[in-house]
Amino acid sequence: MKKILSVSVVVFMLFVSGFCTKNVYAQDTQSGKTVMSDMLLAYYYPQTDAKSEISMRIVNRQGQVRERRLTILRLNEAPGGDQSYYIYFHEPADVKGMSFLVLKYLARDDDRWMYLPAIDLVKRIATSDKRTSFAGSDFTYEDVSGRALDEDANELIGEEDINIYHCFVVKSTPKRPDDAGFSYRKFWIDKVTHLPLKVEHYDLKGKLYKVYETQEIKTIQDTPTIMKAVMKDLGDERYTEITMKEVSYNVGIASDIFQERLLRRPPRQWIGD
Amino acid sequence: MTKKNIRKILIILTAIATVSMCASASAPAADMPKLHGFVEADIGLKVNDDKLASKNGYNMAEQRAEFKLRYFPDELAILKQWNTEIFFKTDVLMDEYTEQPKWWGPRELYIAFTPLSFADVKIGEQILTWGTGDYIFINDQFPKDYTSFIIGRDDEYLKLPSYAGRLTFSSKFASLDLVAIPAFTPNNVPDGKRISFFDPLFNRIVGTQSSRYFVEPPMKINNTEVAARLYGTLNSYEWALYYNHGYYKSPVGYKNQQTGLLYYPELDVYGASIQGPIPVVGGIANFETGFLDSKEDDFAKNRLVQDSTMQYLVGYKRGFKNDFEVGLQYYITQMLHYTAYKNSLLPGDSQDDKVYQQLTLRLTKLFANQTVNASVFVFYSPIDHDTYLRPSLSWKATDAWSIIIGGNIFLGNQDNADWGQFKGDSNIYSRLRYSY
Repeated sequence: MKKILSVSVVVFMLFVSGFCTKNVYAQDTQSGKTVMSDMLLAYYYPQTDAKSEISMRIVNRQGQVRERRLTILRLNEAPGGDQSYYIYFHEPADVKGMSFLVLKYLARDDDRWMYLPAIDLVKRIATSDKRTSFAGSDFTYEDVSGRALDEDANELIGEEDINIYHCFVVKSTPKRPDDAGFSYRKFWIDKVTHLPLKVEHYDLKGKLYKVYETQEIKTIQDTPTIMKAVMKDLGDERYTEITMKEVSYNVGIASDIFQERLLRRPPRQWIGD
Repeated sequence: MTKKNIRKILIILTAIATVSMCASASAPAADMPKLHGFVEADIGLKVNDDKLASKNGYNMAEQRAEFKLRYFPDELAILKQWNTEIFFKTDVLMDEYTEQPKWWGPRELYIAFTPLSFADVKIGEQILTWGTGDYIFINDQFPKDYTSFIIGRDDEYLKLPSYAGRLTFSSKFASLDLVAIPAFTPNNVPDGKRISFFDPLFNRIVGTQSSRYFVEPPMKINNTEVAARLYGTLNSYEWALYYNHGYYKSPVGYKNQQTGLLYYPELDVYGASIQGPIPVVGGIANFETGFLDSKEDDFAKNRLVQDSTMQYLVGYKRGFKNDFEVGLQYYITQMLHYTAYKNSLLPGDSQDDKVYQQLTLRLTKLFANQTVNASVFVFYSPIDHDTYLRPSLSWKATDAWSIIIGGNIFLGNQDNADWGQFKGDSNIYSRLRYSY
């Protein structure tokens, strides 16, 4: 009897705790923030610096394909802090050699420059709108470089499995939705790698309009790295596939290279031809 | 030594580089430089033809092929260590306006290397650009092709290459560009053959009738032009100091007024600029100024040479949602010795205003996932309501194919105004390009 009692107590406790957990999830902004913060670090800040060669396939409703090939150099000033980016376009032919320099600050607007080799012009970019498309793809500039943690309220709303991965589900609601241009995003974040496996974007009317999905993860230099992902635009029936052709970490990028010289003289040891 | 000789030497050097490259058969095919470029067909029709230039009805009808080769001579260890690069770009132009195929020779042909961790060198025919203006140049005294600009060629052709050596020292706090230009390259200015213009010698707009001759400074060590820029970025604000020693790139001095002999007087320019974000409001503002010291003008007592000027440029640009961007500029040129200038004029000379002002507006909007670009650039001078409109609509149909239609529309009634003088050259144009 005692045993039965204790079992039922345990069952009850489990039930309660399960219930509580669910309840806690519904309003758990603290763990939501932690999960989101871990994701930002794993996705946008892995290691101190990185060199990635990326190819993008942009496919429209008619099935017409546009391709981009670029190399990105990234350096973190501090984990979760300011970052410097250099982006060099290899393809398509008409933009080959064009490059961008982005100094990303958490506290103010980014500094952005573009270099047009045909006229040796270094041009300061005035666009502060982070929702513009990145290189004509379905990824926005913000998707590529990330939103600051404080710009959104992040709630842990549950746990779900995607294939073999156990994920936290986080609802991320912008504090100023009109500025952000969407009402909320839902993230499926892998518990082990902290990488996002799926992101649903909901427009200002609350309708799902864009879905991100990770398709392949590989561990490179002990760092779980997304090698392939797709962003689908449901309204326009378009999608963009991103494939990492090569990723290496801690290649020795120093902070003082991120200036005009980098645009005029692409660092061949990292960029190649 | 003349510019033709320099060009020959550059071509020979390229040939040697190409041969040595092919000779080093050990290099696998993958390392061979890839050929890039484009082919293009262009047409530009006049919309208000004054029938003064050498062809009626159009001022651009050409096919162009551009070839680009970039080669890294890694066979020599020292060159590899210096990250040496040889770049060659040439245009073959079939120009139906001049009715002769034109081999443009190299448009760019240079060798670039980094002999020290903080120093870059670039020698050869190269495009040079600096300064903060959008189509307005104060401290960028490098040569321009205004004829290409007006007839509707790609923006790229506004800049002409210079035969130059460029040395850049870089550091975290400031960088220094030193440029030496031993061979003078003038601006390509309207001369009546393709673009009719206001010729002061006729005191009216003329075309092929114009018989002006331009004399370039001979190539001598003493005539080497020098340009320098000291620059850096501090808390998102870019600052720069500039110095130019050389010649006006446009023929603004008369050697002999009766025979229409013009030349490029000596010019020194001292300037500065700053560019950075505007707090709270957002957007990027820039300010640039320059003192153009006309060395042969003798404080405006010499009426045959352009007076010294102070020039100021204030600009602001801002991006908005959905790929929309606005840019504004206000530009002032002020003659410095106006009384002396006025006193020096003879009866019949046209008199310039002391202060010349110009406003510009650029609107750009991208559509269809950034494949369509609609843009307009407006120059407007309030004193004589002088206006130049540059609308354009371009579409990247695929990664390789693109098409643009646009116009160069000159409005304004004053025949001797900066833009009004080209009203008979207004055109709409189209360019179709295949890039590879």
